[in-house]
Amino acid sequence: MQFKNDIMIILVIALYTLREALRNRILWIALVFSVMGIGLASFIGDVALVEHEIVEVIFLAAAYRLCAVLVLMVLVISTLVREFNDKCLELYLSLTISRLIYFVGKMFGFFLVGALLAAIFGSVLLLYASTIDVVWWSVSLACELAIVAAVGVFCVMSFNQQIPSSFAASLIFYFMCRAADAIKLISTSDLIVHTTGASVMRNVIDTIVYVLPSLGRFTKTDWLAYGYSSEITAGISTLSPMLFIVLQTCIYVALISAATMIDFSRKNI
Amino acid sequence: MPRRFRFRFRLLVKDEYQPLGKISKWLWGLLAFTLTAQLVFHHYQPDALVDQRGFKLWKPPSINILQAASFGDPLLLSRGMMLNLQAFDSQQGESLSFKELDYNVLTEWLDRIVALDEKTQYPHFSAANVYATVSDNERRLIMIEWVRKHFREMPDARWESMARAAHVVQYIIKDEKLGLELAQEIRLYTSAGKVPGWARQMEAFLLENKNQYEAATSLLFNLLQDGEVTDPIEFTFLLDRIEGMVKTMVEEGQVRSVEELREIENKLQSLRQMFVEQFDEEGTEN
Repeated sequence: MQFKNDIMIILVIALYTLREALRNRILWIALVFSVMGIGLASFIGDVALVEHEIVEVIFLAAAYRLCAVLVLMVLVISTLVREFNDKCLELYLSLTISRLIYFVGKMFGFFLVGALLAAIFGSVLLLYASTIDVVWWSVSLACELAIVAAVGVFCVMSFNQQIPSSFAASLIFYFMCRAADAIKLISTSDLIVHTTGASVMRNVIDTIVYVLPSLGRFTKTDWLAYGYSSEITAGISTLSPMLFIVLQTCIYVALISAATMIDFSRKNI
Repeated sequence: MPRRFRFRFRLLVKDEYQPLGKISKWLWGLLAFTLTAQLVFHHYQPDALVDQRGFKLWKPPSINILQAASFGDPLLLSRGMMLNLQAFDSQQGESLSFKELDYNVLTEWLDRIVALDEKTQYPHFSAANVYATVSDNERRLIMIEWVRKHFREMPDARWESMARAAHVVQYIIKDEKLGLELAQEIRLYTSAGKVPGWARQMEAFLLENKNQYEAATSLLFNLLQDGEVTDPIEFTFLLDRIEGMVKTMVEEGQVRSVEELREIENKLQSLRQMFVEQFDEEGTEN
């Protein structure tokens, strides 16, 4: 009975988070960016001498991905900071809602917003790529956004609800994750002089990269340009790309959530 | 759960704003004035010009650096770099001739673009159709060699640029020997079925242009006998072409003996038989 009640509370918090996002005109933002993206992509496609459609879809997908990440990041941070500042959180916790239930409800709500953004941008991309490739791309984007949302929540908790520092940290984290594989490649390059300092730096980079999810393998533009199946047939990953993405998302969201809950449960509210 | 859970899709909420009429007139005036000032200021400001007299294409960063800078999206960086390279031709209305570019550095840029996305055709197309068409043979040949090098890596995917390169060499640079070499490479490296027949037959037609009918007919014989030509119209066209070349060879005395002529006739006869077997039976079945 208690479990059923907890699930209901989580659902209510999640749906209200989604409702708040919609009230923040997130659909309008997505629509405006979609139209702007189409215009920009058409312009760039026209500039290209060949591969017009591929050039269009590459720029469009990259713009949509970045847009979805930034919108969700800002939304997560501003929503949580507002709840702290307006004492909404104190109100919730004075009811029979535990911190864990509140946290899970919020996270679930942010995942729903992420899935909504991925679905909107994905539906526009149907104009440029095949349905199956767009579906994989959108699912992958939803996973990427889930990680972004989890990191956003973590940063808000860690930086005591400071918007600039939370946003900057989330952004740096995101771009580091996107470049994780490449950074590791550079650190192992033979061109780097083998000194003690370089070796220490290499170990530091290796350690950092180890704890970062390799987002460079998420939401790949290649799937839209050359087809999702091209990566599978090329045998680039020993694991199916989608299975890798889902596993990585589950593990990393759980890891960041645990870290956030540690911080959240220690806070005096 | 709340009983009524409605999502409203709205951009502006009427209740949140006062009517426009409530705004004081001097604020409207200020808005109109500042907007006009901006439009006038923009209208009279000089166009930004880029001094290209000392222009130089700098060396591209290493592929590792570029991979890091792509933030996990090498395709985007690859196309961005290609468009940027393309834009060096005309910047801010001032045209910079491709002849001004250092072609050795240019090929390094193209190498990086291919390294970021090996499936792209864009750099190969630009190399063969744009950069190889400058009025400087030395630069043209640098580009042709670049196309040739990359063609060998993925012949079935990059044959189009190679065919264009062969055309440039043959008819613009007018180096028949090199043109023939490129056409030969297309035939040798590409696979039948994946590359159109005309590209694989290019070598034969170049040989025909050089009046080397014997070599040309021999090539076409082989292509037809190997069953590479699956289109009846193309088959008939090539057969007619061989017959035309044989006729010219006889007229010009290139056929040295009756035995040689008989041998050619036998080959032609076998090809005609092959045509009947291959296409007439298909036609009957259909």
